[in-house]
Amino acid sequence: MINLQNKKTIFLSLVFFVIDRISKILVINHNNILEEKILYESRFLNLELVWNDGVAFGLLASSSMYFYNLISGLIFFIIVVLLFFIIKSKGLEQLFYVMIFSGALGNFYDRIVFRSVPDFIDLHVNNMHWFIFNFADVLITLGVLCLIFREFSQRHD
Amino acid sequence: MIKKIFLFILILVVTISCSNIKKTLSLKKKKNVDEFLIEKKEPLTKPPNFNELPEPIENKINKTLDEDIDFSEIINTSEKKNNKADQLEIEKSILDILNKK
Repeated sequence: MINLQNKKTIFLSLVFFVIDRISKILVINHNNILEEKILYESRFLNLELVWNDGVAFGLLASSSMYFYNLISGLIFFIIVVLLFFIIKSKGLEQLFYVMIFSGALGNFYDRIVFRSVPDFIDLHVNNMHWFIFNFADVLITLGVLCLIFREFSQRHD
Repeated sequence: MIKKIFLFILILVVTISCSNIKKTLSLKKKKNVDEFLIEKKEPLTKPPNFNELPEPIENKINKTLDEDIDFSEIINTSEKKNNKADQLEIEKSILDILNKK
């Protein structure tokens, strides 16, 4: 049976996933309708649509479909492992795993539907640009950093 | 602990999909453009109605001028000439009178 804790976890995963989807749909639709890649420009933040068919930092981007499917398969395997971690963990640790799971699922969905992942958040100072990322990347990065921090803090205790 | 951290970093690298800005800014060559392709231009040919020369425009203008002559202008110029001739005659007569004196 699904208990209250599991219901909360599923609800939270859905909320994260839906926020990620809405943000991506808005950017893609804006790009399709107005044919402008840049949605918003400011001194430190640009919203600009960039398609990434690789993994982190645009790495492993290949025109080979076999390689692309291999990477997608690996991501699916990690999602299944994350699901297993969510079931096993509790409290804050579970929340961090849920964040990573939702982000990974959001990016995996795009890889299956669009055959590449839309990135659009471009942080920069003058001409110094950080990597362009999306909301799912924020969730994954925060989740992983929190888990690493938690590991260190538990070791010190 | 190191194993776990390594696993987390692996998850991070594989699942996130941030792109490099250089990829978008760089002037990347398109793959489908053949830089060695020489496009042959077709040889110059005469158009089918090349020998059918059009009528010169000047002839057309002359024709229209012959048809529409404005006589009022001609009359005006002739009147002006007559006026000038009269003035000259008056001047001559005055000069003759003065010379006689």
